[in-house]
Amino acid sequence: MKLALYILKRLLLLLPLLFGVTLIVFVLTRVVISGNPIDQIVPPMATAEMRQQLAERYGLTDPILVQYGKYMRNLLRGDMGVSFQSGLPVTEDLRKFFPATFELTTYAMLLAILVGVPLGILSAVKRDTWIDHLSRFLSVSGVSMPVFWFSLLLIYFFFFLWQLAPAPLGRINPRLSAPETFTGLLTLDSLLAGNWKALRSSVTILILPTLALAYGAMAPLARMARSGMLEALESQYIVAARALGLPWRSIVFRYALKNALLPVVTMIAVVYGFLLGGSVLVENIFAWPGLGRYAYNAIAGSDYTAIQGFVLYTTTMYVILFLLTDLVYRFLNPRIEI
Amino acid sequence: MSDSVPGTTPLITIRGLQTHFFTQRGVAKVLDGLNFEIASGRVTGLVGESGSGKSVTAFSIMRLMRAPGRIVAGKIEFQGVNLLQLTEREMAKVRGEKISMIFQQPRASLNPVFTVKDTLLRVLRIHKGLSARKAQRAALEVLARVGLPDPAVVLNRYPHQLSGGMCQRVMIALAISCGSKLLLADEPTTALDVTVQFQIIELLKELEDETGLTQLLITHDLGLVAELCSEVAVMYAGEIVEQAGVHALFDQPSHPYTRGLLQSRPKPGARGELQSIPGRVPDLLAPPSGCRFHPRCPLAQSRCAEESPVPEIVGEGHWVRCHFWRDLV
Amino acid sequence: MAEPLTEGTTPVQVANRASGSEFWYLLRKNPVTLFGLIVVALLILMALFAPLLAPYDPYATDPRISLQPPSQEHLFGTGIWGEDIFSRILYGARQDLAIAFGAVAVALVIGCLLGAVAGYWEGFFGEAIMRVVELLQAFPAFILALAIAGALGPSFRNLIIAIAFTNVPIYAHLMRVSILSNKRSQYAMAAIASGNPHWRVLFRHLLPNSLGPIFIQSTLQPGYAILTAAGLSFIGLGVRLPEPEWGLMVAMGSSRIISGEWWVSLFPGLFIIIAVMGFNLIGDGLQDIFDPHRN
Repeated sequence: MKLALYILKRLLLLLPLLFGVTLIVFVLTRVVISGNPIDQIVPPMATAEMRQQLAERYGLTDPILVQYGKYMRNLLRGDMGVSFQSGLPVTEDLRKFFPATFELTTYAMLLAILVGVPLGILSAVKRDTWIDHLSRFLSVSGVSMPVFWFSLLLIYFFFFLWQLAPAPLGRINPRLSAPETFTGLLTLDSLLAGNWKALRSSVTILILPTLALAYGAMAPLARMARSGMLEALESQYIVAARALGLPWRSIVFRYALKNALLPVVTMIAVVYGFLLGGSVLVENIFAWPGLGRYAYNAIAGSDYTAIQGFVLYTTTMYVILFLLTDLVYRFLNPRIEI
Repeated sequence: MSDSVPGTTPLITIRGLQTHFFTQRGVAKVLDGLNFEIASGRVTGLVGESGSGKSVTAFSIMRLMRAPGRIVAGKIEFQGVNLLQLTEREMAKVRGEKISMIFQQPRASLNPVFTVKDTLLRVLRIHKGLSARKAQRAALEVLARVGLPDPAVVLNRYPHQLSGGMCQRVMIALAISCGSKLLLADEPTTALDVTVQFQIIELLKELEDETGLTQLLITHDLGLVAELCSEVAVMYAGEIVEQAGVHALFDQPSHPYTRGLLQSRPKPGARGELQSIPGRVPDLLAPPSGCRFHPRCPLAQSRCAEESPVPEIVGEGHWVRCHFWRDLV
Repeated sequence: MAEPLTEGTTPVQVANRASGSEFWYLLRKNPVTLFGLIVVALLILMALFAPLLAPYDPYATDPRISLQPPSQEHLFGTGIWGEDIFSRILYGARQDLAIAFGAVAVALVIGCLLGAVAGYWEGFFGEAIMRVVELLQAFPAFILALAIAGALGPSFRNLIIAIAFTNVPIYAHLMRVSILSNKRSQYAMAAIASGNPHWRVLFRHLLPNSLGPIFIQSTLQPGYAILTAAGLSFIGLGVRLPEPEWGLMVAMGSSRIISGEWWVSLFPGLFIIIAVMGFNLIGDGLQDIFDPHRN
């Protein structure tokens, strides 16, 4: 009950934040914007009159406050406007492109956690040994390497040179028929449909972009796990636990681990934000039909309704994920009373 | 050298213990050949200023020294076994089952993300191999034994939900839960409020009276020693400079340092380090030659800087390490 | 959301300001930091002396020698239009370092001002400022930079503005916390009591004393700024052709990677890594040196 109230309170606090986000996005895309989106939809030969008519139809001639009012009214109804480029409602576009991004970022996140956290923990336990140095090298290179460059490197080696990976084009071999859509996640859908060819193709094609994204995401997780574990291992309660004769293994992997993982949980949302940003670059390179690529096309074409939609959508997800990780943190940390 | 306590057998005998700290600035020989005994069934006080090596002694007994500290040489005999020759696995069986330790910061000694139950049951199951149900019953018993009013409630609490005094009781419960013979108590009351200090002292006293639990009480508070201990060892710069029964020590302090401690003794229950002996604990990277106390000693003569004093018998079970102790008496 | 969310960066805590000589002592004991400093110094020299070092005009093209692999004449090979990649990388250091330092400097000034004001006037005014700052943190950093750069249009100046915006919150938070604690100190009380006007107390007394943590953070930020700048330029939202910017140069080679012409993208990317790593090593090392937990 207390938990429910707390969640409700936090959700209510989200509203002004999201309101502020819409305001920033609106100002950026309508007041500050340099290109004119009308150029995207009128034929090059259009007369000034035609342009004027179209601008009126899209409400671009209204005073800015009226435009914002209309925009917010529509937004509350779940209407983000129509994309200038696709001619479809932005919400529909986002729904169409979201699963691809979700699939990619989720696998990258899982890989980053599964590799980064144990690596960080091990490097704390085996401090100043080769594994600590390896972990440090991976961390430093992970945060320093541009994700787009690493993507190209992966393509060069695994696709061009060694021909181990399929062509970096989309989510599945175009000659295969995609499985029936249940979740929109191709790997999961082909599994559910029992379509092994599709599963094989979608998994192999996922490997490179996932690796590219996960490498950078792994670094902060490993560092956080390492410092959390070091702090735990140096604390008084570990000395006390040893004095009680608990075996070292059990002290490290049960007694200290829970304390060490707490700060890692708080990092997950931040890392997800990194993945969302990185997906714009990675999807562009791997021709991955997701939100990142959608956003890239929208920016290239000054399609501001689409940009608004993308930024709002990802930021909302980001903020909600923050709330979720915060709740998990509170759930795991008994020192915080909800 | 006869430093054994009359009428008892020692539970633990330390011979030539060297625990050194390998720092960047050099090797600090904190313990450099310590000889010490803890009498069975009694409470022995180990007093001295902070930095004198009291805690290092206790941590050495537990073999819990951490870098940069390391036991270099010596022998710690407990029930006929040299603890320093045990494997780490064997030593883990000694800790918590035969020798336990409690600390100055009771709350920090408990893992903040586990309940009392998690920790206590795990200790009971590891050492005694009890089933979950039996361990639970044993846990409730031992919590009641240390005077916690509502064991069933405390069992499910996290450390932050308990007061400092309750945390120390829980620590004591953990320490005695598996039938330890020896309890090393490192400043167990220093961080607690005065009234709570008193309660913890009472509890330790009860444990001695009722179960004959041998205890080593590490403290800088001579008031506490007077209340709780029957034996006292005074430590200075890593050496025991005087050891005696508690009455003998208070009536006839024979080392100038002991005398200084007694004179600078704070009023009962007052906190804080002893400070009124002029000068400071020496830098153990470069300890003074001869008697380590001579730079601060009012009796010091040239001999003191040249020759390290050997223990001399003052009375029954009372010895001192000073060239000129007779001048004091 | 109280914590700053800027990716990969957490505000650093500074216990005390190490004195100058102690600082140099610690630096010598911390070879990693020293290495970072040397790397960054070399990059700065490279940028300054690019005209002397570069064997070719970075803007010169020659279709006859397009896409040649590394050779003695062209150390890092040539690009699609026959441009010399080595020369362009040397000149690129100017672009990337200027963006990094520019963005961090702008963010530093704006962030510190906002944080200082918000810390000094804690009431409604300060709260309002911090709410706006937190709003900026609600966006994933790269996406905010992308939205701003996208709105302003691709240019060198706009890139700096976009990256600066993502860096403002961390400085504002650090500064505010610093001012809040210094405000209650004796010297601040004394300065107020002796009749100094508020702005003077703030800018002459409090602000200079609050720069310690800001300084360390400022060594970390240029690394992230370079990554963001390169990323935005890579997707065409930053520096534009024919300017030699490293991210843009990687993008130039991206379509060539699947036909095996690796050198077009490889070398500029390596320099991004070297630069980012250089800054990160300095920042990490300084955090260690000033870490209050250090024993």
